[in-house]
Amino acid sequence: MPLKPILVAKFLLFAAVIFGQEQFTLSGKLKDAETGETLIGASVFIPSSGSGTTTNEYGFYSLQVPAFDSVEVVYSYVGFQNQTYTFFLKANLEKDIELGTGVQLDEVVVKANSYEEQLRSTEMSVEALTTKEVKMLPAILGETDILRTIQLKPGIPSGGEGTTGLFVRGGGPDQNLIVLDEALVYNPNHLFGFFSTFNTDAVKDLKLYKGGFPAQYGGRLSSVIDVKLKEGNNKKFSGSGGIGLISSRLTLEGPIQKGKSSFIVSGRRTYVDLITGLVNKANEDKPDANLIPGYYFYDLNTKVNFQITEKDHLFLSGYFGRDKFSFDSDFFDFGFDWGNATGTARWNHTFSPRLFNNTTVTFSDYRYQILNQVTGFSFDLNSNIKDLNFKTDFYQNLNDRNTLRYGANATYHQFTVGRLKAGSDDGNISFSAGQNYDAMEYGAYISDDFDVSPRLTLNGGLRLSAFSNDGTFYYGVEPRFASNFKWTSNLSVKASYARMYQYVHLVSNSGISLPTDVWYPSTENVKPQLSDQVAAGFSYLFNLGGTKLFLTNEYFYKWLDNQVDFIDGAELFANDDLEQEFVFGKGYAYGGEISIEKKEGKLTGWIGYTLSLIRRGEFEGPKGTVMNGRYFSPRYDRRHDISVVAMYEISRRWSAGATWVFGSGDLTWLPRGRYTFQDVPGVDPQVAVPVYGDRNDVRLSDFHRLDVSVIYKLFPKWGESDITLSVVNAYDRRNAFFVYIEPQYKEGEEDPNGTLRIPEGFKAKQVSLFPILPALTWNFKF
Amino acid sequence: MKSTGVFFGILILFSSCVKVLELDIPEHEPALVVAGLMKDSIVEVYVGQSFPEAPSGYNGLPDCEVTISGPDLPITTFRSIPKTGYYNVPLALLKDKSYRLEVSHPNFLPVSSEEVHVDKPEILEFELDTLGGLDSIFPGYYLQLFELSTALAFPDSDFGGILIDVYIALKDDLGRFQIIQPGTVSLPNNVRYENFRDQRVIFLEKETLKQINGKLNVVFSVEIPKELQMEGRAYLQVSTISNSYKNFLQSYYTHDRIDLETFFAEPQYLFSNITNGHGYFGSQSTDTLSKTIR
Repeated sequence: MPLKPILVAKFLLFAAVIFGQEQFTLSGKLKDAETGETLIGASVFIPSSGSGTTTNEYGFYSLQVPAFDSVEVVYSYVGFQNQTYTFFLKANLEKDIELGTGVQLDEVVVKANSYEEQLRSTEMSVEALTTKEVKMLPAILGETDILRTIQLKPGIPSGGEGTTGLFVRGGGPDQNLIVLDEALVYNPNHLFGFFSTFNTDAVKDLKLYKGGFPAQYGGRLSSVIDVKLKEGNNKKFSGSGGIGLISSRLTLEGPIQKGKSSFIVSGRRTYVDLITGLVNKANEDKPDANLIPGYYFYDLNTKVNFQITEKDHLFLSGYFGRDKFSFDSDFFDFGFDWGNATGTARWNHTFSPRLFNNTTVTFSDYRYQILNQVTGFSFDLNSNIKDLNFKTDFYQNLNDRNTLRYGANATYHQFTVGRLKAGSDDGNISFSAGQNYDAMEYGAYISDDFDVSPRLTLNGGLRLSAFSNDGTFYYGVEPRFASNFKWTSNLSVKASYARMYQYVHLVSNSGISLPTDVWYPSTENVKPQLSDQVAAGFSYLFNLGGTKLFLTNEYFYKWLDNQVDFIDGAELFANDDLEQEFVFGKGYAYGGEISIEKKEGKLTGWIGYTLSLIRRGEFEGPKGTVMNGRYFSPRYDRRHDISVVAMYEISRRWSAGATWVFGSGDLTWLPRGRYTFQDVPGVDPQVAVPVYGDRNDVRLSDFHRLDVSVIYKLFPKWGESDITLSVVNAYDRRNAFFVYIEPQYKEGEEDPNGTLRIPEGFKAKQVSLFPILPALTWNFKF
Repeated sequence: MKSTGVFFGILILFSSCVKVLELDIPEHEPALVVAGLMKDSIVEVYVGQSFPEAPSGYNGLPDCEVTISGPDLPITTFRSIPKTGYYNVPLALLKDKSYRLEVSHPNFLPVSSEEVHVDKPEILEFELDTLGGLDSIFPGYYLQLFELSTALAFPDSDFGGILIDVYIALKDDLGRFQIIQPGTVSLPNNVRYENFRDQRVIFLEKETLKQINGKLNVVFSVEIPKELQMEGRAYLQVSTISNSYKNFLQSYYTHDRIDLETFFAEPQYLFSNITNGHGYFGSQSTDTLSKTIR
């Protein structure tokens, strides 16, 4: 028999098997039975066929079920009890399901399904956290922080002591797409990076993608951090909060119309400034007393949602946060404040059981302002970026093997870069600088989750992006691919590829993330950044002495192009031509990550290890090259990164948590020697020229720290309550916050009159921030 | 600086938590430091050394062997000025030819460098106008503002840019000339330029020169002692400089401007084209024209 007819026959047989049986669509939303909150990433599974799906980020699911047949469907979600329903479908069915914990709320219920889902999904390089985990782990000054906790996962080393800057798989701090209820957050930090802007009480879900980016995300090279706010309890009025040493927080939520609409308001504020204000007032009459600067931050999250019809749901949410730093004296006033504001209006519409739509309009505004007043002179420096974004996403269940996602977005960016006004009070001297840009960014995507067979699942996607700014137009074609092959029931092998474009860039010349870092758009000279990342790995569920452990091992390689850095000696302050200071180059990063996780039992936690290498080079710009184009490691090239996280339920009342982190020291650039030019016309013989090696050629001492916490639960009649004791840096390790060089003078030359002194040597000094730092917090929920 | 403000803000805010530890700076191997310049009729070289810590006192090296060679030039040894690190050799080198400088000293690794000697510019014309005078803030002086307009021609061969230097020489009561350097020299009309040597020297990139077709106006102010007569000469010096010398000057004056020893400053890596050492070997060729001031 000829070969071609055999193939045709096989194809027809295959098609008959696939399409021959009539099917109906089972769809709906999965919700928390207690609060009515939709559940993201919950599993809907048909054990008899091995097929299933998960709820999307809006809690919606859609599944093809054999018609006129009795089918058992299992609904499950981490921390909740499974529910099994038997359906006999004669038509499409919309069925909202509510899952309950079924046990005391303070106990963690984890079913194997969460592992099952991870083994079945094409998603890889993804880290997720629940607020429950975050609250059990130690926190700096008692302030729980979901963004800091996610840094305990492998492949996400932090920027070092006391910062929430993220450096994902060799990416820079500006290469993370951070969205809060779909609105872009440009600076996710409070207090120079010590705390994130996300109030754990208001957060429902946080997911971090390190690679294998789904096509719906774009605009940053290295990670996507998708934070969803709670919707508010639509069944009963409730509240939660905490009172700590430096801050307090309160969240109130409840139904507006029971089961149909709800609200949530969550706020927090630090109050160190109230204490320092009292100290300053007490010292008012003491001439020798030093004034202490005032500092506080606050943020407020609000959200309301309305179930308008069975098919329409409207959500309105907003975030507003500010940091304020001030120093006021008789002759010198200094004020510095910064913060984000975001707003989201979201409409969910279910067109049909198979087609779901989410349309969003978001607004985000990040700004900082520095005000400085000395006798007779003042200056005002501010920067600002505003976004207005329209976005629509469709989620379509084509058949029992294909789920399509497609959508588009358009963002209007308005940049104000370094607006400076300075002048004398009498108006004789005045100076101003700054630039404004308006730009548009567009994106459109389509992707398909394709169950090729019960063992093989593929996800292919394509994103088209574009950016226009003052007549300059860029576009990018971004293919995405992910695959999962389930080798056995407890072993799956995954691979992914993603290309990403980034059209806005962060201007920063400091070693830490500062609020004064400025966002800068792509222009004629500043090309969009580009990255290609491949990743491969496996997930393995195994038993060790009766304990279920989940092993994940991934390897990645990332190529980076059009990376933006600064020429040596870049001058960024009030510079009206910043582009002259830029250099553009390439980079690469590669490494491996391994983690073992235990989610069941009294003792839970994980151990993660990352080995990676990051290099940047071939930098060239209008003013020349960096190191003649040679490659160097950025400051955050951390070779080894280990985290050990443990949570232990000791008894009904007592629980404890501990984290230990270890990382290779950050890199820095210190002068090794010095020289002067003497007898050279035009050159000052007093100026000592430093001799540097290659950029960042000095590695600081290794970073390691142990944090512990103990939680004691109280059971008052009105709700729940606990007292949490956190001890950060339990063995008093002095890790480097930053390093500086200090000139050394001859003994006895400390001249208070400020006459010229020539240093006879230099010393490098390391500033460490955190000693042992205990904190006590009282948390409550009613 | 804004960053310095933030830096001190953090320090003040966390002053109770901060602990300072001393770190070991990586060892530095001292090396020869060379500042070598090929001029129109002489080659001058300064040789010093680098130090692991801060240099102190005079550190020029007098006992070096300094030589220069090129396609038309056999190895020629520089003469040394006793007890200094200064060496020179009178030579009229060929334009657009590459020369090799070698410096050795018994205590250091020998160093070398190669550079092309640049061709000369030409000042085609030069006019000087006085824009007005003011009483200076310094007693006994007045501030005179000048505008100089000039047209320049440049060689076709490669060079890094030009330096523009202006100064005046005025007669005192005894008829002697006093040379007076300007305060700030600037270019109006949005011409892109850099200032070197305490704002007294203008540097222009080759590309900028092409854009303005060699025609430019220079505005400068001079603090003049009141006892001097407003009679004398104004001098305009225009020099082409080689790429290496341009790179060195740009990096040096950037280094001079920024605050190097704070944490937040982006360090300035000083340009060097000296193999096994530090410093530069460059070329500068100058045309000078003067006008009478009355």
